[in-house]
Amino acid sequence: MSNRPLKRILMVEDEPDIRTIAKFALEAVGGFTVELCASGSEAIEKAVAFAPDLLLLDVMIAGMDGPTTFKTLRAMPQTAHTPAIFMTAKVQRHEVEQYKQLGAIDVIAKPFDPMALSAMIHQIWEQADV
Amino acid sequence: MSNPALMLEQQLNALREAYAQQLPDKMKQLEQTWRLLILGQWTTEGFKALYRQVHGLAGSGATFGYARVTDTARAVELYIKPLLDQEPMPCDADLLKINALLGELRKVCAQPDQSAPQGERVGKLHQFIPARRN
Repeated sequence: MSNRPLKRILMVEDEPDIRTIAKFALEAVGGFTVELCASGSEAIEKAVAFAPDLLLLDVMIAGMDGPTTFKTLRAMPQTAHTPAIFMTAKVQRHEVEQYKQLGAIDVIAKPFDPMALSAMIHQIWEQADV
Repeated sequence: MSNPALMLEQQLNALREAYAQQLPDKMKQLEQTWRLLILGQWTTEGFKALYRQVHGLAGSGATFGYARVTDTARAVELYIKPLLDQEPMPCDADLLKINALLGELRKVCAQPDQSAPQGERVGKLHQFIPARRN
């Protein structure tokens, strides 16, 4: 169970609509400080300065996909140990296990309920060993 | 006195309405991609672009409260996916099926319905607000 505070979330999502509603879900509803990135390369560029507590990564991003972005961030000393949650429409058990083996603490299914997203993230965070 | 839950509800409703207003334009862009494929030159890249546009609608619809958009777009997405790397192009039967599925998606995008009643949403909000961390 995690005792670390969770305040800053760096989210990578290439769909503008999802970024808009995620900003509402995480900032207005959840009270988090959020950095929204439209691509993996933008996330890599902003991650060090933003110093996130948590990475929230869409799996199917145009260009550099979520898992590749995550591996790149893992290779950077400043984000090598930052916990990550993947978001994907594919939530079959073997796929969830595949993302967890990469190092994700959990997977959130898309579409998501904007009113429940932050509570879900808190729940995952509190149960994770981070 | 302001009610935080109702204020969030109003913000969410505004986001939903803005999304619904954009749906016909999104569908037009998607149909333009499709027309270029079937009337112009078929390319794998163009077909993948169509897939991404449909995938975007499938992922966003229900998040904004329009479950039928997600369900209908998901049906197109699932049909297209195994055909993505097929060369030179899908057969006539597949093209007709995709065309029919896109027709369904057009109808849904023209008149999207919200899947969750407002009262239910406010109820969820009230449950969540005390758990908020700052």
